Amino acid sequence: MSGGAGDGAILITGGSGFLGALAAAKALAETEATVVLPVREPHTRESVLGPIATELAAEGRPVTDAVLARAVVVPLPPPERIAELAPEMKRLGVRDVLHCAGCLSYFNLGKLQEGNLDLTAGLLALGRAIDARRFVFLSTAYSAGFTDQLIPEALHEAYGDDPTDYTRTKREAEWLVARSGVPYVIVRPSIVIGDSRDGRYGGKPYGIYQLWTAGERYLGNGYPPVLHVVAGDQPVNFVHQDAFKDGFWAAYAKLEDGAVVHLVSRDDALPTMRDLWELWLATHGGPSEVHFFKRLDDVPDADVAAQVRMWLDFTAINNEIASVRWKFARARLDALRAGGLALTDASLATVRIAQERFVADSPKLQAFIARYREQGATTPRFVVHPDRSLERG
Amino acid sequence: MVPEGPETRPGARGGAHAPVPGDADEPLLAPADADELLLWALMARFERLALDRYVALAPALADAGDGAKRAWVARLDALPTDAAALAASPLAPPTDALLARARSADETAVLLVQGLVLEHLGQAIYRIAEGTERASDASRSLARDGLAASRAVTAAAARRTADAVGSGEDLYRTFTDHTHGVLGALDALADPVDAVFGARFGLRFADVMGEFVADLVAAGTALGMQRRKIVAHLAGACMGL
Repeated sequence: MSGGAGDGAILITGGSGFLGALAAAKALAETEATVVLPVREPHTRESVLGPIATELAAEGRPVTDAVLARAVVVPLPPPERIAELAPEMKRLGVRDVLHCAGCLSYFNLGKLQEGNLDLTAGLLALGRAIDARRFVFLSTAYSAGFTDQLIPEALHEAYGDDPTDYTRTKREAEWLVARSGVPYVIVRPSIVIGDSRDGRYGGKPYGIYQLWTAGERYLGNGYPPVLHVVAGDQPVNFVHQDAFKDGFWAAYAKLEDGAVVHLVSRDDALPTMRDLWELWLATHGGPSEVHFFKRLDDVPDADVAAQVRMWLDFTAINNEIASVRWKFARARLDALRAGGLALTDASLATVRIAQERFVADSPKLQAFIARYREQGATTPRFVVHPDRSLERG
Repeated sequence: MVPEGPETRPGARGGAHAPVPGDADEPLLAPADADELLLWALMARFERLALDRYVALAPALADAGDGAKRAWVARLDALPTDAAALAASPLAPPTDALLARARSADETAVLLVQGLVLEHLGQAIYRIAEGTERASDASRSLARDGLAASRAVTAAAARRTADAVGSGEDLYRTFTDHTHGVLGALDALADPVDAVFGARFGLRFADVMGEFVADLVAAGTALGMQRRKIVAHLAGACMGL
């Protein structure tokens, strides 16, 4: 074991968020360590521990007072004052920092600067002040920007155009970590989706959930007879939240200092966006025709109702990311797997579990689906339109 | 000093309204139909707050189109709307929450929250109401006038925004900071709007949002913000991200 993983207290940022809460639940389940969770208002100890306890219970782990007492919730100062936490962190015995907090805004430069760069810099200053044994930084698999090359498990010396400012700030934060002098591991997950076993998902509607949620909200009164959809034919790399949790922990516990790991599924069975649409519409019924376009620019404006156009717009960036064939190097993850890490790769079958859970948790969608079925909804005819960007050169 | 709760001034009519005749499939329309009056009571709350904010902090918008907004609010105030019916409807809680986030405290907030976001939301509603044959002629005429008044304001707001707030990335940053809250409060109106107005007028939240987003994106790009970024902000704010 290169990292500590339980020998000493663990500081985990982002405990009030989705992935940070998963990491905290894993830390409480796998160790006897004190888990320190710095959060900002309006979060409270109760609001932070609620989802963590839920995740522990879902895993069949005991949620006792003794377990929860090991979680210490402390106020998170502004970035420039985070190092002032050092005396208290030393008193608590913090040795490792798992930095899972971040800003997921796509383009809000101020929030991205503060949430991804300033916060990371502040935590690195704290890491130096407490002589941290390990600093694990949660980045993103898309920090390389758009590229058709194999994306290495290394810091990005070269990078493509960024899908959003989020990916750029994550890449820049990786460099802050690497240059800090604090021993580090960087973990880059792809698109996190619900648990592979029961589909539960504790996050906000990002990734595929943005598509599903937007559909629920804006198409939930009825499909147009012909639905125009932007959906690429490249495999989309999802990683289940249970795979994220186990993989993140294994990276923390076992990888060597300076390692970068892509926490991604193997390509073999990954679905494309078209697969996902066909799964949804074949399961629930849909409009009479569905027209697949690879790019938003190819969708004929005049044929699309305003609310469908909005739905296409709202999901455009994610569709754009999903239209590209991302090739992630996986040697480190494969090595962890060879060492005993068991991960369920995402496939159409496992995404279906997440989809079923999403529908089961939505009364509005269930009512819509029932109404649509009563009206005789069937699997639509699928029409694939050519990629017009090739014509445009 | 800002008067407290300007948008909550009761309508001219008190007491319960009479039931609307007709069946569930084809409701009959009446010139003073209770559901139509509920729509106008709702719009009056938004419009009163907007005018109040314009008068207090952005007088050019209050005066735009020869005082079109003042005249429009006066017309809404003269309708026999029933504030009690609105307060008792499922529309009330999300409306209260939304308007609480829209009490803009400075000119920049007024320009962006009222002059840009909520005016375009109103325009989407007015356009749909004007175009539906299931509303009375009186309501369609009202919607037409409301739309005209709002357009006068948005034209003035665009000019003033360019002068006072700027354009491009600076404007985008200010726009996102000021409008995230009010956009995030819209979603709670979805089910109440569909329940109250969907079957009755065919005025559904998703339709309103579709029109609203299209308008707002066009208005934002005309002000120099990047379309892609505006859409990302709207998607995030409207979906609770």
